[in-house]
Amino acid sequence: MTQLKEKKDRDTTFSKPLFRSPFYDFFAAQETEGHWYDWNGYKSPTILSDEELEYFSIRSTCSVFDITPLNKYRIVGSQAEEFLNKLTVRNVAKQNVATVKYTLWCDQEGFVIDDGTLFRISDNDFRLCSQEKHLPWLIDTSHGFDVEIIDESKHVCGISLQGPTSASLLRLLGVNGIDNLKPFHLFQTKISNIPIMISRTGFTGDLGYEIFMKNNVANKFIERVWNAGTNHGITAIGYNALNMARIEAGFIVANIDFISSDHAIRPNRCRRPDDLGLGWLVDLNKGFFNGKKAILNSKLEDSEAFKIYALEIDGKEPAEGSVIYYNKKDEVGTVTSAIWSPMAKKSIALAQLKLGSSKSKMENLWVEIYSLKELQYHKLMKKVSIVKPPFINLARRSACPPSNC
Amino acid sequence: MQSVGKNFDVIVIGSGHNGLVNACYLQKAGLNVLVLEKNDWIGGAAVSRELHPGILYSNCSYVCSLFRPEIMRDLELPKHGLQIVAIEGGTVFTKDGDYLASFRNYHAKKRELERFSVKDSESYSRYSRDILKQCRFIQPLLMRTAPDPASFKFRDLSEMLYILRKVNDLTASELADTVRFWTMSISDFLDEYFENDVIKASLAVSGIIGTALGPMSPGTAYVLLHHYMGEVDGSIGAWGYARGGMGAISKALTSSFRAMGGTLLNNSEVEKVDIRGARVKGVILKNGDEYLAKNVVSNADVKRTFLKLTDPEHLPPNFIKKVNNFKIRGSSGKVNIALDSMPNFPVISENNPCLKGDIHFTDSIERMERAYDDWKMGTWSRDPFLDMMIPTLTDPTMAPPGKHFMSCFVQYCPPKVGGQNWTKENKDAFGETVIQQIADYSPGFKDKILHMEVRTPKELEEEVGLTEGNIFQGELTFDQLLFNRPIPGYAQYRSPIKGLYMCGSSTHPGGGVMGAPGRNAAVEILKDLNLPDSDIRDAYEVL
Amino acid sequence: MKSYDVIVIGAGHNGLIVASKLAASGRRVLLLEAGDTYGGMARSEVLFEGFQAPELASNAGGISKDVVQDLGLNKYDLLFNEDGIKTVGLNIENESVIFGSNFGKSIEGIRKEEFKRWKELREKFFNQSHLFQSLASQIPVGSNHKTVRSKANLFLTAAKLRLQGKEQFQELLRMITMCIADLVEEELETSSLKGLISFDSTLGIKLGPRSPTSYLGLLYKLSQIKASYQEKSLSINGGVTSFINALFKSAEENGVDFVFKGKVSSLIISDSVATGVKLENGAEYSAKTIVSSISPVNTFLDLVGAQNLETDLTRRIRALRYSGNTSKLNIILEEIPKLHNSQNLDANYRYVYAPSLDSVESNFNSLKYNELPSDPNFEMYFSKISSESSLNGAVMASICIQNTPYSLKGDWKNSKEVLMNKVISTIQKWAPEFKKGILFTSLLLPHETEKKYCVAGGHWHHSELQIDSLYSLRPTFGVSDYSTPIDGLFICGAGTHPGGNLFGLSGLNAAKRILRESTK
Repeated sequence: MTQLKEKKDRDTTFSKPLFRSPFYDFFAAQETEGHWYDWNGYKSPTILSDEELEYFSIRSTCSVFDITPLNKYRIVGSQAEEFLNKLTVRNVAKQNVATVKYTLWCDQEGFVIDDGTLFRISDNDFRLCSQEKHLPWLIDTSHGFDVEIIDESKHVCGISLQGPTSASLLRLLGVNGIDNLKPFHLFQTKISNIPIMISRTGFTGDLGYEIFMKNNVANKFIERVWNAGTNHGITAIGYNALNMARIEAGFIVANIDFISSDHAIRPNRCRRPDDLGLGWLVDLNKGFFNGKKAILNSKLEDSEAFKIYALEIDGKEPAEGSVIYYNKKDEVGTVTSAIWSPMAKKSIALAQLKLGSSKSKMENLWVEIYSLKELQYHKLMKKVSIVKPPFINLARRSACPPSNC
Repeated sequence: MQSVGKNFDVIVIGSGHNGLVNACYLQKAGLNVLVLEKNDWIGGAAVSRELHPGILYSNCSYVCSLFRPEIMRDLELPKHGLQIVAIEGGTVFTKDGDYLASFRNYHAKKRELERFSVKDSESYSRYSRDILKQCRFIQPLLMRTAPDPASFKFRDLSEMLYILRKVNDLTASELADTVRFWTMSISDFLDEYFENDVIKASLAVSGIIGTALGPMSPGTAYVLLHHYMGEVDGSIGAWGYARGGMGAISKALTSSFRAMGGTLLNNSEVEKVDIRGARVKGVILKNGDEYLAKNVVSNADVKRTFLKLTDPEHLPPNFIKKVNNFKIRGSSGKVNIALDSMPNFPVISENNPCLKGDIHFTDSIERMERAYDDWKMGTWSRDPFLDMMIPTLTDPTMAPPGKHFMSCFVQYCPPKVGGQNWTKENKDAFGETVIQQIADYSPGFKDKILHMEVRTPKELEEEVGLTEGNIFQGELTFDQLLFNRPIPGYAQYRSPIKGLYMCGSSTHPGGGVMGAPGRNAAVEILKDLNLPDSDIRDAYEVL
Repeated sequence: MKSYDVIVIGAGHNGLIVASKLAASGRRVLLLEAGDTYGGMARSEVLFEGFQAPELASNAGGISKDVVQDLGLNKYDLLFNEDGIKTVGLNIENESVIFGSNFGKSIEGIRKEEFKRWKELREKFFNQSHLFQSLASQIPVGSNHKTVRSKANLFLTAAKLRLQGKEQFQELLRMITMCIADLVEEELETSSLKGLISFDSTLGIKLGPRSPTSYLGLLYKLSQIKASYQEKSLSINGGVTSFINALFKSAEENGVDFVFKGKVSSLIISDSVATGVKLENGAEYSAKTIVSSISPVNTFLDLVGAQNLETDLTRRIRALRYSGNTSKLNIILEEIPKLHNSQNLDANYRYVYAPSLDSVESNFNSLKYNELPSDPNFEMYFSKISSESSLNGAVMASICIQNTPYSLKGDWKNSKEVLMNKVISTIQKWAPEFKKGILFTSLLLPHETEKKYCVAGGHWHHSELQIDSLYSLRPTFGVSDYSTPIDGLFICGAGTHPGGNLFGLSGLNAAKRILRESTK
């Protein structure tokens, strides 16, 4: 797995600038506001032109977002399925070819290292996409299996097309079979002779597709899509717009809504799948997997852990970073992600709370919001109600065939 | 010589940074303190000296990270001119004509590591996390007096309990990892994370600096921690330059001390501590002068303090034996160079920030270890390890524009060559070995040298007073750490003689320009004098 | 599939102890051994013309008195050195130092003054070895250090040590992580004596005398001497074999079934529960309890398989340092050789060639870089070959060569000969007739030991006996109390606490641990 150093271009000034995705030039051309950030070592846009308008393209037309910085690991070999069954908590034997599953993986304490999406390309060929980097963990987990782990991160790039018109845009581009592509399914095809892998997945809770391809065809591809999308309201978006959509969809992000056990310095910051509300992913009936014993044991004890909850908050102020109280005085946790939801017309939030087993606490929760207006904080104590995510549920997300707009 | 009285509350022997920190705190507590310095400059091994016209040399210690921010604040050192500037990067030149840069920016550093190994670059996150955990464990211990685990006194028991509670707070696997980390060799430790030898060599550096151990010696992982547990403005593990050279620290401390009314005398080498009836009376200088004080604090190392400055008749024989057995081993030398212009390193572009930090030429653990083997056999390393810095790329106050001061810390360099004293020929040959290594990577380097000072452990001992020229005033191995430092039963800054204290790096928590020994000693002295220590703040909490 | 209560893998001494002890408790026990006889690395091999002797562990110090008593081994004919073995610190130029039995109770060849200091130092060493002695028979604190019981155990041990006196306690805390070089240089002058003590401290361990923590190696050795049966070591002439035979008989009498040439290829594991074993020849056996006495690396990575282990544990196992660094040279001589000063060689001595501390250190230097030492250190025993064999009057020299790398830079092809010649020519200087009398030689290198004795790395201790892999960290965190994350699988080999030579406490502790588990 060792990658030898490439002794080619020696930079002349600061040696190690951020990487640029093959789509960088395209997005840079759309950008007017100059908001960039470091996503996994790539220079990525937070806002291109207008955060809200970018968001509305997700919900109303078609957005295009660069997912190249995601880590992409190719897992091939006769025991790829067995390996993934040890690595992840879901039962990979039950995952059909040409489908995608959302999954988690844990350490031996049953603490979540990261979440990600697993693409089953063929029986013995998978792609695992994740927010954080895990090459050492994947390699160290692969001992004893006939499997090869290939870090494709720098060789494969991807685009996410999300929004109500995304299906018709792809149809226009000549993607046959888009009508039959069910959510969490994938197939390989070509657009203008460009080979791509397309899946009906995304991070928005809306109708949408993720498309992966080799780096060398990126430019040609994005040009085709962009030109074809003019009549479908295609809009390039940055991370902030996507973040709004993902909070509405109730999706959590590693190292924002929970700390990856790989990064945690303080031991009490680690979380188990149940704590993330993702216990349903864990298949305790399958054979051995990383963290199984600890997860089983944790079910026996009364959990005192923080858990992630979806919250609706009274009033219109977003509650990012706020503290949640029980009975307006006992601190029970913190908001990890929050926005005013333009779709739900509510202030919504994801938070980690320590409520124990008592149901009564849930009825009496309050959030203390410090809202800064012209250099003065307005301190608000707002009622909080726990709801079941997602905050919005769109029929078009799962309709098959997808509607035209 | 200025005229001063002969009576003081406290006399501090030596104006090293720990002596000055100690003196400041005691003066601040209302005592009348005298600091005696043998040289005509101030600062022990934290000095800036103009050894070539117009160019300031940090000719002993050369970078700063460990100096406790609490002390800077207590003693108002920024007000007295102290400024620490973070270092941008560093580099290791490799034998095959490449280089591995490192940057203060964590992400940039990882991107550079990727050039050598993608897996190692990712493993670096786990490595940093694990080191940070160890830093968090040890940081609160630095500004506390170590307990005597063999004592049943309340103070010792409660401090033991504090440590045990900290240990108990660790999870089982953290405890296991901590025990392993404190006892392993840096080489074995790095093997558990990394596969690339250049990356391992670049990280192993902190495991050997200042010690008479090689990277394959157990205990060197702890030495690495000793170099990581400092910070620059909250960035743990970062290193910085003191603006104006390391002497700026001593200068600020002296200024603070004098502003509080303290007295400092140069050219006043202490001959003996005057002891009458198992109690300190004062000190006698080489020139015969005597100063009186009921309390004397020695900033000198434990060997110098008790084998040279104190008459053996006042000390229990068993104590003297243990002092003799304390391991102080000179293992490093320095070559300080004034340069006419910036040296050229063809493989690296001129303005690359990685030149602004530590520059190394040792690209494998094996080369590092072999350098140590030479030292074990009693000679300087034929292929030495260099920790080279050009602070004038960052600090405009040390040299005229375009000219540079270059500090080369060299390991390994023995206090004696083959059991014999250093000769001039040996010293020159040692200097040449160092210069040649640099010249191998920087053509024309030798022509740029304006002036050069070669310092073997012998010079460090003679000038600064460090026994064997050991920069930590005693090896940082576990048998000489915490409650074992310097001597079991005497790890609380006191000595067998009433009124005689230690405050140098020989005491807990050990070497480096940290100031904690001086501060901790002040706390104990004030306790003995029944004076409040409310002006000494506790360590900042680690969240 | 044949079913047992317990299957023990590996018929080394620890495997035999566990098997015998568990069988004695009424369990039906099967012992599986890859080789064709019992004894593991202490087993006898035919070396030359029908002559049999242990090829590797021909001289393995003492055996735990607990083992002897617990299994009632007294009734078999255990052979001990009644008077103890003296060690000659070979020094060709100068007079050799003769180091009395019981680790230098007396020493010939040094000044009185030095001996006085040695006596004090030795006493200190032995006092401090109490730490290990009291820990050796404890089942180490496992992955849950927070239990009251384990805390209490450690506290009691610390309290006991403190009761030895304040001064001694402080000295223990100071010395425990020190290097042996500093300790001997603080007190002693005689070069070969310092060399000898350095050699003994680092024997079989990848450390030099100047490496911090090398003193622990000595403490460990001394604690074994003190906890040995009647503080005696096994006889050079047949002692090891008598011990192994006694264990075998004990196991046999307790009803253990043996299968030889039964190399286990894997465990049958489903969902982290071990239910049986599969042999290379296809046979399968089932049992609720399986005890592996083979090395932790082989147990976890080969038999269990990394695929059945938490990645965290795989990482720890793979990080074990288990490359062997000792090789064994056996030489059969026509007769006991004569010495250069025409003195008679005493076959009851142990001979150590480690003329100085620097020599031991430079041997270690070579090992660090996987190179051959230029002047290899070794220890040597002579044992007489019994009169029944055709080699009547002949003698076997068992030579244990330190610091021979597992993976030599370049390769072993020519170097093997070079190494052997180096050792022989060293002996030759001191016994000029030595070479002439050689009938047979065989040198077993670490990688060859690995293959022949089925032990990863060919390490005599299965993994390094260093401070970061002792007690609760032996073999590594999470598997230190003889149990494993695989239900029903236990480990009991030299890789577990306290390990070491033929001492046998690993096996006994493991057996106790297993008995405790199933009475619950």
